Amino acid sequence: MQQRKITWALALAGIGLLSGCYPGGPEYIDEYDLVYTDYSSTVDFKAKNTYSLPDSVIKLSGDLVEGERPEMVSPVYANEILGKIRDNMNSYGWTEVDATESPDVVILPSAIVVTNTTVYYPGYYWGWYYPYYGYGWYYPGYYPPTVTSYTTGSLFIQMTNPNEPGATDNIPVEWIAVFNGLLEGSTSGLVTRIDRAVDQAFKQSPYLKQ
Amino acid sequence: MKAKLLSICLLALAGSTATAQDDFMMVNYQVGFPMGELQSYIEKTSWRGINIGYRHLIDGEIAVGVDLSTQVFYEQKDYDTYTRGTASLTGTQYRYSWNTPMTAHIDYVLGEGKDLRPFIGMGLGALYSYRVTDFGLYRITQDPWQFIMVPEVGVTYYMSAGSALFVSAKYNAAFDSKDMGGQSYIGLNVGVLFSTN
Repeated sequence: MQQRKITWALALAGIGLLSGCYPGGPEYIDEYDLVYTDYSSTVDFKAKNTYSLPDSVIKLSGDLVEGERPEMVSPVYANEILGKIRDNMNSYGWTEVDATESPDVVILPSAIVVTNTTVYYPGYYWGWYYPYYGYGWYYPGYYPPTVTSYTTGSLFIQMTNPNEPGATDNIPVEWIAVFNGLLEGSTSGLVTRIDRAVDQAFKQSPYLKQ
Repeated sequence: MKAKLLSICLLALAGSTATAQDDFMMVNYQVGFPMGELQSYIEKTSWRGINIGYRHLIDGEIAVGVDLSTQVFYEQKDYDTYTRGTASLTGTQYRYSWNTPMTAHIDYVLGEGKDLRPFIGMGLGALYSYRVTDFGLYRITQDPWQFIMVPEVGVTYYMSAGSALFVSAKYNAAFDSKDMGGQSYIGLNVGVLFSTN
């Protein structure tokens, strides 16, 4: 009888302890999405007015031979990304100009689907587009995060200043946005998530308003 | 580590009840209300908790024993932006906190010989807290040990000579550890107590 009582009590306790494991968690892909932004506090964005935007989004896929044109993200996604950036920049009061018309900032979007990288990738990825000298980026006064994990995709949007190259001829990245999430689901689902992420990146960066 | 400690405690309880006199075991369902630093991390009430305990009556009014309990707190935060310096991060946070106090108790029990016996008590021991924050595809974990004091007030209602209903409220007052504030919470217990004699 005594043994039965103890066994019963221990069983109840065990059930209780086990039932406490994971009470909940993400159920949908978009619940894993993160939008990160950072900027250089020494930059006066209100003093700038014009920007240029390429017509493609680079796919970061490994080392390139200098001068080689990198792989591009599918136009289905690239047009959505570029259109959203354009919409947000224009609504913040910026004016788009051609890259050859000395824009105040050049916005460079890129995406990655591989493991263990950082946003410190070499600037020569943009050699085919970027009309200014400088072969690398630097981040004045802040440090973007390391992006790791092979199950993820990340979209980077870098706002660079072509007119103030650093001491080592590197180009300052004055604002960065990173969208990180799972690359799963349908095309339309991913497009919706990209839209939301780009909008969110600008929403949480009100200092970009003119 | 947690599982090993739990096994040792349960074995100790099982072993000690075999020969003792005036010994009681209790099993309680526990609702947890976060307080202090824990409340600032997770505001929601926890409905997932259990407490098991053992008491030995030294005389008719003083009881000593041990408690082992666990309480799981969880909250899904809204899709929101967290800003630190110039950096902003937006996403959905999932916050978990498992808390396992292991305490030695002394109780003063009133109403000797009556069916209804209120008591007040105090427990001292250690709290193992395990905190998980899931944010996007990233996970941050912390698992401090903290010193804990557990004042308790409650009542037992004896339905027969060897078994009683048990209701109590106890304040699990945890002290700050090196990297985390005290993971304190109030536990409301409802359960049964039975003699193992």
